[in-house]
Amino acid sequence: MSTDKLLSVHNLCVELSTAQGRIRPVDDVSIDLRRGEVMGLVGESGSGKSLTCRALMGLLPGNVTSNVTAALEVDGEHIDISSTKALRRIRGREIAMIFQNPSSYLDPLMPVWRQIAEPLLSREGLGRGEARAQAVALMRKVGIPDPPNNARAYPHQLSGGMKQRVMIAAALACKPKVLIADEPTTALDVTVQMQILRLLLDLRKESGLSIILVTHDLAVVSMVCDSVNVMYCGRIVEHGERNDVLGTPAHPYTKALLSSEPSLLGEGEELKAISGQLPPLNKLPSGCRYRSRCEFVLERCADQDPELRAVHGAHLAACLRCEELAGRNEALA
Amino acid sequence: MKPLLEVDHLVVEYPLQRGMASWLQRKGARGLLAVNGVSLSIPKGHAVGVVGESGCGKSTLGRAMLGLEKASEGTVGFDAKALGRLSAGELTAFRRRAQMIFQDPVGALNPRLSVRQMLSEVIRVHRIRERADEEHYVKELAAKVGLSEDLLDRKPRSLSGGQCQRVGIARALATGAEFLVADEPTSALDVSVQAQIMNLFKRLKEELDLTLLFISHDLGVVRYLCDTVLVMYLGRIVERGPAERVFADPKHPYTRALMASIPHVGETTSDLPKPVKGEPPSPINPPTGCPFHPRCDRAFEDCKRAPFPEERVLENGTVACHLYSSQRPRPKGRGLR
Amino acid sequence: MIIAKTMGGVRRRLALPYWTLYFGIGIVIVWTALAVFAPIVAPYSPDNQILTATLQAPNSLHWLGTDNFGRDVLSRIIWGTRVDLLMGGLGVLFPFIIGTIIGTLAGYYGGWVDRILMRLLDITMSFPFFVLIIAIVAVLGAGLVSFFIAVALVGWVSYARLVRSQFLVLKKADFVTAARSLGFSNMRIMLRHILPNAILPAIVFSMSDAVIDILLGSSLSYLGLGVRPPTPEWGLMIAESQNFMGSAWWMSLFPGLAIVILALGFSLLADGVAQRLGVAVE
Repeated sequence: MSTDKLLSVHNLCVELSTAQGRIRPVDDVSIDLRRGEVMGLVGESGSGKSLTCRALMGLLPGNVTSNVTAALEVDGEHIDISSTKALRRIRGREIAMIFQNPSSYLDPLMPVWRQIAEPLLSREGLGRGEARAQAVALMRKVGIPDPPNNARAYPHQLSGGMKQRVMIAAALACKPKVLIADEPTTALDVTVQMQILRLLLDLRKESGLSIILVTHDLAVVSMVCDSVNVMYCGRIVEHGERNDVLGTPAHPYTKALLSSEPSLLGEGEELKAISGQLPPLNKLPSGCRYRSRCEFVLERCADQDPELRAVHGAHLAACLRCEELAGRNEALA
Repeated sequence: MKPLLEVDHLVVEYPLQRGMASWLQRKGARGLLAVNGVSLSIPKGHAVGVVGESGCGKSTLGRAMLGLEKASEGTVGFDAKALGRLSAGELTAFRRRAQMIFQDPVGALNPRLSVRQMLSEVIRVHRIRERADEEHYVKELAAKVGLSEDLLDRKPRSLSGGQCQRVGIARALATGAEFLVADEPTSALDVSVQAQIMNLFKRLKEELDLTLLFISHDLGVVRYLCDTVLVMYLGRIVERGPAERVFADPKHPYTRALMASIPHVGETTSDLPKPVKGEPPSPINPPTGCPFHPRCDRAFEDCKRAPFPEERVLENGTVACHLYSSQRPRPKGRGLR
Repeated sequence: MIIAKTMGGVRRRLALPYWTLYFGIGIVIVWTALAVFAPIVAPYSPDNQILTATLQAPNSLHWLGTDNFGRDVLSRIIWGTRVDLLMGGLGVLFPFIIGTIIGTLAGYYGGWVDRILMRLLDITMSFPFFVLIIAIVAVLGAGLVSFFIAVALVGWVSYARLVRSQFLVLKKADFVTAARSLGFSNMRIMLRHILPNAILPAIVFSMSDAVIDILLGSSLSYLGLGVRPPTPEWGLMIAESQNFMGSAWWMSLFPGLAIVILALGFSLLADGVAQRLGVAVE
């Protein structure tokens, strides 16, 4: 993993018009992705992690009145995020995305090789034979058995894991530099989940692919990611290298997530649930958004909305008490 | 002590619509064996976890144990009475004592009824309380599952997933159920809500001495709540034992593969364990012999040809794998040891 | 029909604005009121023939003019509301009840019950409606009764299908399994759990069906197969004005407008209810 920045997005804001007024499900999010890095984007439903990724790709639902602003740079080149044309150019070529439920994202009426080769046929202008050959090669690369025969298969003839591999192959067709994986393994069996995660890591090793892995599962993050961003209510509340964030969490929300995940519990530890619920986006509390559920809340948390600040080196957290909280932990490892 | 539940060689078969081609080929008349010869017994107050991936039959097993699926072969016994042979009155009595908690918390509730109406209906149909006491009992139930009173008049669409699941649990407890089958009760919930519901199960189990059959694909959840674990693959139990032992020292290659997919804190990315190959097979076309052999890294000739291995008793549970066939065979009785 | 979906509070731009539902309700209420209070509201009796005032254009005495018998068009339209609303209302009610019962039984019990009932449905569907109405009219004479009988015999099919398909889907829903595991009887599950949910699409359909029935009844009356003169009915009024289309345009225009407005009212009501229920039922 090199240190140069492949993808850099700063102050990403997505504003939506809803029946309840204008809301900001993504509020001032900044991400710097290095070449060859696997970055975890963690949060529960409603945290804004999926919308963040879709905004980067220009894939927000079309019927929604939205306003997206950001400073976006891909591989050193500045991209105008409000221009659909600019985003369409980088989509697939520079940044590709795979989704949670492969069944919904594959065309049931098209054989899989065509779905993988489609960008090759249309954008790269390849002939049918060549495109198909490349599709078969991609299928082999992602571990689909017997590619020449399975190329003719239709999605419904394949299992869940196979379909996800097809999606990955399709995403890789134009050799993107960044792959955004939005909960790619949530709908899969655990043993298949491991296969797909392994595949993503192998792809990173082979071609230096950078990956943004969106997930609600901290366990997956702990196995696969180099760095972690924790999101809450549209904001990034903690950021850093994986061992720092998971070992010595500095934000109360991260700590709460860690202690409510049964597979990350130590011996004899109790599960601690997070009380309360996500505040509605059109009625956010004053000051810190997390304070109504926070076990470390102070009075002054209602006055300030904390910014991300350094706890230790590149480990950042948006909490007034972050240094104190990080110091309080024994490392979990 | 007599176990509360006893399942004996249970088979649940779904007839398959065979096309002309297989009729012409005279393919076997066997349908889809969702549950293929499962035996187990659960003592009162015990929490048994059933883990496995898609197609293993764990949900079907759970439903069969509540009499919601018909047993094609074998029996399910509750409190020493076989379910298939209960009279109508006995069946109603059984329904009071054994209930199900569902995976989709919102879908498990009638969208047109409020929480209060749902609970009242159960109370009235089973005559749990007098009319005068009904109101009080509803509030009691809500308190027991941690549901605040002002939610009682809401309908499911105005409740969160976690709240709906609490309603489902309250409804099950309303009849005074002693045995709960929880079919992936936390899978559809957010992580923080999962923890709330799991703690609720834990508390209720202790307070009410509940007997639980907890079905989940999430091993961490099962480990947290259950005393015993059953590992299922394609309709059969491949390993069983005390939860701690199965997690710490899995014997069956499939169990090992499952355990390897739970993360351990502190691993670096280079430590990612080698994943097991292939995918969970479909019960429509099961592999010959031991169904796990195509994916097993320890498979040998027998695994493909010999019939499904019998469960062998080890010091701490049983395992159904040819690797252990040199051990003494299982005694006639059932049970965990 | 346009059904709006709300995704987290964001409404699709294609949705009808909320007020159209109230507009539809308003129209229906106004017509219903006219029908109920016809004796009070109508300026003249509908059969009152003022032979000195035939074929008068709309004027201060007769706001919508008079027909060739000197009858006040406005009064005839108001009195005609009773007939047309009855056609829409009862014309829907009988098929609704019959269809719901059949759909419930077929959907819930399945098996041979379902098969027999669906064959019955197929037979009924293959029956041409107009042939049936002509046959019934030939036997029983024209009139509302024949109309209701014919519509009931043929119209239940759509309702049965809607209710049955809902039952087939809802039978497998978790909350129904929950009801079974709670020990509720089949009757209770069928009637108190599934039916209230299954019947919603049928209710929505019934409102647009009402429109069809009104148009059907009017057309039949126009053809002489429905209501007989001198009963005031909008379709019949149009038929009677045939010879005077060019000269006395008011005789056909206003009854026609009445049909259109009432049909519009029911349509908006149907769409509005579908919208609301679609939102509410999820």
